[in-house]
Amino acid sequence: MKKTYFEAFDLDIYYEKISNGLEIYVLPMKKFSSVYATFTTKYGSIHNNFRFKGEKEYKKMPAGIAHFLEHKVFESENGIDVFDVFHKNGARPNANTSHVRTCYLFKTNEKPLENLDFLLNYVQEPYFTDENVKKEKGIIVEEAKMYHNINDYYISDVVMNNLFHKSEYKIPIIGTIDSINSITKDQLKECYNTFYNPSNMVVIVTGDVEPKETIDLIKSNQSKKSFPSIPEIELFKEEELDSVFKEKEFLDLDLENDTVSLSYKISLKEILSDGFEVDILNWYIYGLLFSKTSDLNEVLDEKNLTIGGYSSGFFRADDFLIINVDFKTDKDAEMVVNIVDEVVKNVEITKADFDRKKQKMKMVLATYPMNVNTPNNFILSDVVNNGFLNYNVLNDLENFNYDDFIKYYSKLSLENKAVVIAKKKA
Amino acid sequence: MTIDKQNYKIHYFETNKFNATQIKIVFTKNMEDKDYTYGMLLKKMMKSSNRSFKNKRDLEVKMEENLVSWNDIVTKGQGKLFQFNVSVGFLNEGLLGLSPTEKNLDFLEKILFNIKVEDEGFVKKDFIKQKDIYMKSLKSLRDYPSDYADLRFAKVFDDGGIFSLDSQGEIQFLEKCNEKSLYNFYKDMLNNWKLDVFVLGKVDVDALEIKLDNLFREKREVLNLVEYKSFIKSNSNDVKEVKEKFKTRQSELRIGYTLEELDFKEIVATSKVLSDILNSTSGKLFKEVREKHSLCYTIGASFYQSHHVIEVFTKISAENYEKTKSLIIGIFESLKNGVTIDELNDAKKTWVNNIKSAEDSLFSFQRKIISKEFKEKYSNEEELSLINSVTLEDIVKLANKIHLNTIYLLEEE
Repeated sequence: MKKTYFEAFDLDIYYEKISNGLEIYVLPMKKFSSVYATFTTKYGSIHNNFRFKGEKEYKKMPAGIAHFLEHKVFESENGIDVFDVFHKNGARPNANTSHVRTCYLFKTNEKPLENLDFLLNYVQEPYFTDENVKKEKGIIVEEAKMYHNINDYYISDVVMNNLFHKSEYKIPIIGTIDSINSITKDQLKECYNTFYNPSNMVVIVTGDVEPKETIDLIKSNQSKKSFPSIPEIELFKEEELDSVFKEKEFLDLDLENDTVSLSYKISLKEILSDGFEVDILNWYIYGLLFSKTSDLNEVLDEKNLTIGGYSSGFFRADDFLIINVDFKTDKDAEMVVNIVDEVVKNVEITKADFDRKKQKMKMVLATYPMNVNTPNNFILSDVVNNGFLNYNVLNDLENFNYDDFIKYYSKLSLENKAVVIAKKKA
Repeated sequence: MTIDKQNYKIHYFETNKFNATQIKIVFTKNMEDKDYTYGMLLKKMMKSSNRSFKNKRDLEVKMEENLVSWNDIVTKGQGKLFQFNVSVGFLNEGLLGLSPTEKNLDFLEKILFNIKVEDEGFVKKDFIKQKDIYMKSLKSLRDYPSDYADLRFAKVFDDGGIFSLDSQGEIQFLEKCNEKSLYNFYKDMLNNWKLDVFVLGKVDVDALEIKLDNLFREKREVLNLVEYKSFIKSNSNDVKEVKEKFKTRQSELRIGYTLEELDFKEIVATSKVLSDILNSTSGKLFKEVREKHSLCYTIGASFYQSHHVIEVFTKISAENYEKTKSLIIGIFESLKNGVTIDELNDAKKTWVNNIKSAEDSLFSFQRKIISKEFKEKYSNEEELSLINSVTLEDIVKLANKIHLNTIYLLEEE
């Protein structure tokens, strides 16, 4: 068990990688009475084409299978209802799937170790039958229809499809109704046996816990189980071009106003090949060019180009930084898109802007330990996306200066973007 | 501690737990039909037509410069009461070597008091721009089927009543609003509504008091608030069943129940326990409708205690309407025959945990403090004790006070 002071949170973090490969992070937060625990496999919706090292053929799985598996892992052979067990122990369980991971979690004020023991057990002892797979399809199809029925989600799915040529990021996390209906018990087992091996997983516990007894419990739990030693997992990946698959698409959704989703696909390949860690850079690019403190907000507001402002966000997809801007407008939508493009490409970033953002980011980090959930999610995101927790994040942030930013920023291009316009009803 | 300043109150809860402090200024009045709409428009004016900020972007930049970690303006209904809340949140003094309290209070002052005014009204040009944007947003409601279903259900369920008011505002009230009437609404808020300042975190209380005294030094004629509880207008025994066609890809089902007047224990404890028996992932709705019959992905029951209303919500395929409806109604009927001791004890345990974990979040902690100021007053110990004392008979008694009123389906065409 290794103890490290994590300056960003002003707290100690305890880490151990146990003999079966499972990684454990424990962050004691003694001011709180709750405990939040996550048990995560580094397996998400983009990991659909894989093989073990040494195997000849890749196995191609239906879209949405990681998410389907998330639902099925709650099923146990002895008929125990996972939700009931947590409920009796005063805990609130949940699970979620992203492009790159599937996470099982609970929050509790009572019996944290008992609940943690159960979390490990139910995730590692799933039960698949043809019957329970069939039953789940009805629920997941309704979930897919729910997302499909939210216009903003639907438009965003179309943008994701249009951004990428071959990457699995094209496909919605939940899959399509056809792909969901095609999933079989054997495919679920195959994916489970590949990606739910402890060597591909991480446990993170934050809140009112003792690190030693927490790690000891996990070790004891794992020592009672045997897992096959698996070869390295190889993912089938085709080179993704810097360009977008489709630059513009119009949808007929019969809406009250034109609704626009615009996404930039910014290649990070050149910077990554320098060995530079891009997370901090990405945050600055988004904050300075697209957030509510940017020129974009001023221009859209002053020229009255949108209805109710705009929303924006960013994430990393392999070698690309994706930044999206969504808005409704009663003006000529294509004209507004051109203005957005012109504004973000011509932003002048001053040192004062940069320093203000640096201060802001430090403040954001300092507020993460306001509850037991956010630090857990921060650690998880770092571990899944980068393969490790950057203990020096505050230092790196402090040392990344304006000249560094300008140097790297000048290497990036905003030329590749996909635009989807859902036209208002005639 | 509470400091009663005669024309306003400061409620200070000192804690270092969250590394941060939130100051929330809460104005409260008796609810009128137009309040949500006027409140939403006032919020827009505060941020976009303000002498201290050149424009919306400038406001956001000033927030960062003034070390404001978050700022929020929220309109809220609590039964028959309407509230307009303005808050700021910031790191506690000394963290990262910063001193944010005074800067945040200055920011709060600018947001609240520096709206541009001309001729006893808000600046007309700015007002028209914001009203126009707001009108277009309200007209876009149909683009959000779930929100549209909620609104249509509320109108069918309690036409003309407080429950049916859309918290996002309504076109009929916006049409009648002008720069002068909104300014009068704002002046009335500053001068006459009940004013409470809630502070959770760690500040220099003496300095805070001087600053707030300076902000609210004008003598206020504080109006008397009515009791917060409300009931829906139509309480007929006839069950309304309404289906409306809509261009949507999934049907939205809402089932509305009314509640008879609740006693203190039912408000503080029994209704919460019953809510968990229905609502959690171990609850009857989730288990029966979703897990056993695979009819939906999401299902739940919202307890609007202030209105004496329970609203069941789910999203289904239209062909499953009759089956889903029967199952839900059957679940509510079955409550009258009682629940099992396990269901009762598990739900009690959940609530005991909820009470504890509410204190682990700055936002839920403060929400609870504010709610208690305007509704029933009780300590955590009293709440825990009442939760633990809920019996099977209490559940049956409450179940018999629940009456089916409205079934509403927004149906895919």
